[in-house]
Amino acid sequence: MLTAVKRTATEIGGRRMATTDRVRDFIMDELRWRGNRADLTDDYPLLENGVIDSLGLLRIVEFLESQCGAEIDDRELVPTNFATLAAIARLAEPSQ
Amino acid sequence: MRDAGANVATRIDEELGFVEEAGFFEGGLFGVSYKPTARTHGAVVICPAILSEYDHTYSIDVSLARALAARGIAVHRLHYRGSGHSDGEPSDMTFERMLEDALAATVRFAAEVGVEQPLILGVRFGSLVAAAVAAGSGGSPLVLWDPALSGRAYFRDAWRADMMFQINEGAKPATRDAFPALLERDNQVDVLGYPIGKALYDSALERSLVDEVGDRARRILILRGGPPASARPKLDEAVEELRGRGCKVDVEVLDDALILWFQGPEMRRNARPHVAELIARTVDWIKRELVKDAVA
Repeated sequence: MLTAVKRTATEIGGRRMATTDRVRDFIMDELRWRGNRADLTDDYPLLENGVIDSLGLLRIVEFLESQCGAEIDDRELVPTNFATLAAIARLAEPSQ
Repeated sequence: MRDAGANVATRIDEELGFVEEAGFFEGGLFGVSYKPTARTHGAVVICPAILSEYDHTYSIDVSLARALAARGIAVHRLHYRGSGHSDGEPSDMTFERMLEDALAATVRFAAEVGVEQPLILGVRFGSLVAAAVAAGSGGSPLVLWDPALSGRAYFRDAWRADMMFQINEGAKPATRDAFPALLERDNQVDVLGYPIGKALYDSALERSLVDEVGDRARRILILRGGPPASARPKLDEAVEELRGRGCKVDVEVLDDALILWFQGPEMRRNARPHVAELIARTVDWIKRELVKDAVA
């Protein structure tokens, strides 16, 4: 089954970059995940596979707020919103 | 009640040239002093972190104190009543009581080592206490490690850290809205295994770093976690406000994040590599600050 992933994006250095790509970069470069980048697809289970731990979660929230302009309500801090890169990107979207 | 000044341990480091004394002081307040055996260039009082961050920065505080003492700077680390080795229960802690403890320790230690205005160093929540101590100690310089900008912001961070821990454990965490209600009901809330008492929460909620620093111009070093490209707009606002009040504020950013809530492998992997950088930058700034004052 194909899952539609909405590609939210932000302007970085004059070019638009999808939030999923930015979080993927953050996980690889800042959180220093030792896995294979190619495995880190938009729907790869992050929590189940131990890609991010408590500290990584905290840093991702800080990253979304300080670097992606997201305003995250504490009520949105639930496991499903951190399950995959796609879920994290949706969390960074402005509330409707 | 313990005897004031009753020493429980003394260690002489002949190689580095300082004496380390651990003891109970007035009112069951515990502290550790590091006094150079040769000339003393100045003094530093460390207002430590609280909750899990206290345990995770304890050894960093000790390493810093020894590094400074080896360079001729006397240091005192205190344990607020209700924490560490000091008497009292965590549920009795209030901001005012922490401030009272830090002021008492500062006045006593300054007199002991013959320094009029010790530099005050605050770690995370301890930065709010340190700022208030400095405001009561003339023009004392301040060093603040990843300072809490307000009690409200600090407790929010604490609860977020607890939520992240629960998410990682596979639990559905209670939201922030639930914490004040839990405090009302139980008089304290467990955050990462450490209790936040209602008395501390109520007394610190409206405290802000800028207000605690007050209106007197002073030199301040703020060391925060990185990476350098990461934005901290609220910290930037606070720094601008302090500069507007005449303070000379240096902000240094570590190469990586400085998150001290967690222990175990996460802490070792993420924070320990930066401890040496944190200590080295702090020692350099304090040395410049205190030696300069001594010359002047």
